[in-house]
Amino acid sequence: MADRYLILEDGSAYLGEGFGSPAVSTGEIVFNTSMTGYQEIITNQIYHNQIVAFTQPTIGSYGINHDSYESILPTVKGVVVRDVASISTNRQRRWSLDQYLKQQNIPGISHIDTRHLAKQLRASGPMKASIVDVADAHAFDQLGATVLTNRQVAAVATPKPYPNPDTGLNVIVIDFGLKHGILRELSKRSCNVTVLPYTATTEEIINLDPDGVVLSTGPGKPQDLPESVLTMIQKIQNRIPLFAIGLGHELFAMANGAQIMKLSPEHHGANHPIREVITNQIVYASQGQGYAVNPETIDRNKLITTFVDLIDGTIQGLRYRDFPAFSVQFFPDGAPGPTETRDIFDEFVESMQQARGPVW
Amino acid sequence: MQKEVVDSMAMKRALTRITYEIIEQNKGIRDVALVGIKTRGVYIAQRIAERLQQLEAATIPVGELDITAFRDDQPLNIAMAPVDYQLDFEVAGKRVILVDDVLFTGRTIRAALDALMGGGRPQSISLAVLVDRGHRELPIRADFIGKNIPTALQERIKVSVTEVDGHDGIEIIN
Amino acid sequence: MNNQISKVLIIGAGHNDIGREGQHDAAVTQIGSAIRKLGIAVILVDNNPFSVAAENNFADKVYIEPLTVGSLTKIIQTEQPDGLIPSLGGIQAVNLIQGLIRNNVLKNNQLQLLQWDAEMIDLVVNPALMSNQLKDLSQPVIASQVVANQAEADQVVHSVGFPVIVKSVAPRIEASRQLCEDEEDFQRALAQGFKLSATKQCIVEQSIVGYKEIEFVGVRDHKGTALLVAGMENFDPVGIHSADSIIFAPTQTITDQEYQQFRSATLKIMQALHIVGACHVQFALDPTTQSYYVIKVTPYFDRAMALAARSTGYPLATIVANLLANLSLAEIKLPAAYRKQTALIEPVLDHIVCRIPIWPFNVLKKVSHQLDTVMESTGSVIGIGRSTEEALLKGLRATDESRYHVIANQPQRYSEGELIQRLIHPQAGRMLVLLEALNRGYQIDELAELTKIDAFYFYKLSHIIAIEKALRDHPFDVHALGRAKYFGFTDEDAAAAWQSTPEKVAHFAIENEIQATFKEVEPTAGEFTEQTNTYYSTYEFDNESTKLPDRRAVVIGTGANRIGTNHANDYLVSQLLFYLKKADYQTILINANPNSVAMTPQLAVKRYIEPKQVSDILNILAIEKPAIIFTTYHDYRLGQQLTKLGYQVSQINNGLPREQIKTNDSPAVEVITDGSEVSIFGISEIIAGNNLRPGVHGSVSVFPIQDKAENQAIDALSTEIKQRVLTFGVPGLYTVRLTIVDEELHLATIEPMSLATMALISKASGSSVTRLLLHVKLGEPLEKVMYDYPDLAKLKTIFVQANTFPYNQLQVYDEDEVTGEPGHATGTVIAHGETLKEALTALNAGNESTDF
Repeated sequence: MADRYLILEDGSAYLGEGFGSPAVSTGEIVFNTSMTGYQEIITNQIYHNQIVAFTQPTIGSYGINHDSYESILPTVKGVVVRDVASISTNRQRRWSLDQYLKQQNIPGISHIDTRHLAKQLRASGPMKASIVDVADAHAFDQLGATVLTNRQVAAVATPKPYPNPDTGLNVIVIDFGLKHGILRELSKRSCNVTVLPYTATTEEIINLDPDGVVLSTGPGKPQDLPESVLTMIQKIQNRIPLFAIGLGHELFAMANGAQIMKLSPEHHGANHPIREVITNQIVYASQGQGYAVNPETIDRNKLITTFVDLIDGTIQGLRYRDFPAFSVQFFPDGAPGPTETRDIFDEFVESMQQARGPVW
Repeated sequence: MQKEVVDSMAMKRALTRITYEIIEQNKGIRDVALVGIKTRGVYIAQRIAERLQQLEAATIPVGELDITAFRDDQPLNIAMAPVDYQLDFEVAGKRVILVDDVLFTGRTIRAALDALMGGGRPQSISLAVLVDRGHRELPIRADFIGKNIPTALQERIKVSVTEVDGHDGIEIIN
Repeated sequence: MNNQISKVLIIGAGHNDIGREGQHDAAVTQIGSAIRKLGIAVILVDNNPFSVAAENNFADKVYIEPLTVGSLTKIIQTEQPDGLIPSLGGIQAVNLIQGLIRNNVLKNNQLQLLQWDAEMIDLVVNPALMSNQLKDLSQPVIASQVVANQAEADQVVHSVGFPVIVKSVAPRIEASRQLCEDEEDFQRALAQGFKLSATKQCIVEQSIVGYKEIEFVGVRDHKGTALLVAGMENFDPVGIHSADSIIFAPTQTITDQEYQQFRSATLKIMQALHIVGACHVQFALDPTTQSYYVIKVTPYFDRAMALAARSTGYPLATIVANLLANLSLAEIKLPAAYRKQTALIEPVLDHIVCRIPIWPFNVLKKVSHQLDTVMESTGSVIGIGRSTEEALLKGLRATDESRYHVIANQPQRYSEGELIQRLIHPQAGRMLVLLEALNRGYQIDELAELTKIDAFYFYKLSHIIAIEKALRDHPFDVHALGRAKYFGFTDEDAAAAWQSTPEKVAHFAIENEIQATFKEVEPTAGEFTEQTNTYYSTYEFDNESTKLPDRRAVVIGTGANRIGTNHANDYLVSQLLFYLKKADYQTILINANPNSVAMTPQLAVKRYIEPKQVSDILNILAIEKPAIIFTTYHDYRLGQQLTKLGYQVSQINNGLPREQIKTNDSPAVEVITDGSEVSIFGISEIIAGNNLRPGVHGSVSVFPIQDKAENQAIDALSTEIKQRVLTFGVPGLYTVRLTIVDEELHLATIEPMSLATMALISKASGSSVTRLLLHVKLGEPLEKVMYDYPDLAKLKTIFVQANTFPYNQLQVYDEDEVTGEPGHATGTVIAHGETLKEALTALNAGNESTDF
């Protein structure tokens, strides 16, 4: 395989071997410490415009499976690993990781000292990076000159509504670049789901007579989204049970006056203890966040902090005091990652049922 | 035949949701007091109180009420027995939340209301139950419901709490 | 649970054995000291002379007593501990606790069982009860039934068909599962199972041979917070005992959905059983459907927990110690090197660990090498690397087998038919066969089908073959060497491929800046700074290990636990580390055995988990530049090589007794010398095994001998003894054997004191002779070394010691093999008494069916 380089904004260069697409690609580089689930991570749209470095050394050992996609088309800018498994046969395989990345035009680079890279990013925070063939001055100039788009949500969210019909509660999912796990969990609970673009207006939402609204996960900085999104949240949160996840959680916090801060380094993994405040129980969940709600800006007359990351102290969940509207920063659907937080979807369903009143 | 309809996880979740709803409807926890109806209602009230304390960092008074003496379906001599005031805090001015495990005919709650009123004039009284199984005989409804479980009249609902039964869960027995 | 625990009782694991290496003693060592730090007194009972925990103040009080209900009852009555720890002595300790409970000893002495509900004891002892419990938790378990006679057993086979597995109910010793393919196997397994069972029952269950075997380890506190420590995957499918399997950590070939399924099940099981501490759950995964079975739940310390702790750097034992003292995971305060909340972070790895079993077959040649459900390995080693290939090659290298066991670059003589047979019916050292099959052009799909090993591994093995070929085809090519080293090859490998010498290759590598780098084994994959001071080598960009300050001593560990009281050597290494640290050395251990007591973090300042090939060692020495290196008798040749290279090496040559003694022997004098003075500890004697009971294969050592006449005779010889020892020269511990000629004692031979005798004297005196050995080796004069050593002449007690053998476990019945020679031993038991007879009775107590 061809020698390629991973170059970083700060001038460092790592020699490695290319796999996947031979394209030159630039994005913000982050590291993920998850032990399993590379396919789910690569296809998660939160990584739009990012290059993901895996600390788990062998990636690709079970190929690409039917039921592990978190989006239809991945938009990650690159995959950085120590070792990519060159399998071409597997019990559940469709494609090998290498084949899949080629198809999706995503470059990968292996033989990287990802432990050193993680330590470097831990100190520096996320940086721009490129996967290139030659690490010369030109490449670094190009990298320096690249301005990464701030329209990530527009790039990955659905432009048009689409249904996922079932016979249960009527749920609207506002798509900011959702991961499939959300739809999977709603499906398991027989919810009759309509996915709307993030530009949907309050009126459009209300007209569909939903039992509940989900604000989905998505990539990028919440402040880059139009003000109208916050207005929409403010208008529906006191009328319809609301459940916000990831980027949705950040927007929910903003709609209620809190400010969002950049996390440095970003946090991507599934092994931090998270305390559920109300029960004092500790859970583990899949996390992927470049931003967090600034705890000092929370209006305690409006919002209650419901989950806290015990390692970095970040707010992992919020709830409106006066009505059933709540949010989590982590991914309660897992995929990949622990599954013990999936019952938050049950909580959402029960809130919707409660809001509707008894069935007899 | 016994069938578990709510497991410990779901029961925990129901209590969590009731707690949040109490905060929602009372706009906070000022003047809120919980009164559990013996036996299991008391443990449920305590768990809700613990949750409120976790969230709001304030102590909520929890009282216990033994209403066997007040039931209108008890023989007359018991029902007429003199009533001691049972709570160790004043209900006057409080937003009292009565807590019981199962809401059925409503007679227990009526008795509890009688007992409570005997102790002063609360600002308000509302009702939280883990299970509403229907079949009301009085015009009483719950403000906070963990789970609506439609039942046949001859069926029984068994709520288990770790403190008494060694585990959490709700079963239908018929 | 009660918060007010002030004194706990730990029942040790007893003698080492197959399946019982140092992992229990390592756990006791760590847990004991962590509990003591919490202000709780520790009482330890064990009868293993090589227990490190039983020396050096790891416990407040140590009882070297038989592991019987009777003797434990007495200790409980005397000591009145308020907490009993059930998880550190393996299945044997659980059986003993069941006895104590039945006799109301716990109740009568207000002794509280820590970690577990009392019902747990029955679940652990009786797999059928556990199976029912798991069913209640909606966990899938295989069809399984308890049978008390042939007819009942036949009925089970009638309904599920062959193959079936037969297990003994409540076995009196650690008993294996027997896979039965036909009626004949079945009869034999039932006969043995009924015999071993305390209740005369067996379990017959459906076989799931060929499934993937997955092992998860979790921890849980009394508040119900639980987390996963490690998920591990067996290379070998179900059907080969997990202890005889190659194992990888983390899991290599399972998807996130499968992984989370096992994680949830592990935590759910721990939650439902209210386990406080660690728990190991084994699963069988149907590779085609994702459905699984729970095979076994082990809530006591075992090899998987040791492997999980060593692989992740998660301080498992220290954490468990805190948990059983009723702290929660959130409350635990770890040593300063760790982050505040490390106990609560689920460990993640950025390295791969490969565990390889060690076989006794080089010594016991007539044992069947067939791998099945009966455990045969005596130990294991691990290789750590940054790729599967590197971990595997380093693991194989750490077994100390010849490189031709590692790389099949030699044509093999198997016929096609033989090869296929060996693929289907695997034998020890199967890696060679797999590589050979690849070399012969077998397709990966075909091999995966024949062996039930995931195709992923065959890609990795093919890659290893390709790298080696590239190496051979390109002599002294920088790229080829760089790539080979990147994937785990060594100077020695390249030298063989290039028909050169390791020195030349090393020189070439250095010239071309191909240099080993070291990375830390820590539980956060670089997300946080954790200082576990444990390192492994790889060939990458960044090196994390720098030399320790001040005076450094490297101790080369025992590595693989082989048959032949190898665990004794691990005891020696542990003691050396302990006393070197006391002597203000910065101690560095090189070792690749995850079960080794020497790996206990308290013992060495720094650890390298590395194989012991010369180039591996030199990579470490290049960084550490130690003042002195210690080697033990296994590594004599390595020590010589290092001496030649100019390193200061202190070779300790105390090992096995030189010869096998079958009949009562004449006495021996145990001495120490600094090279100019000699001091006598006392007289020992070896007596025939039949003094203990009939059917004993080995012999019994006795110390001290208090025969007046003999002592006087030896007094008379003392000048001669001292002279002879001094002419021998080198400082150390020696045994001077005497012979009786014409009813008079004469000097016969002098040999280095055996490790068994060292342990015997240390336990008898209550003071370590390894400490004395170390100090004379460091050049200190005897008077300074011995001044505070107890006077053994005043000892009133007689200590006796006997080796235990794996003949029954390995089903060796051949008269020629069953010799009871020290080289066959897997463990040793010690006991004492006022008289020899009393001591022998104590030695036999609880060991009535031990294979002495």
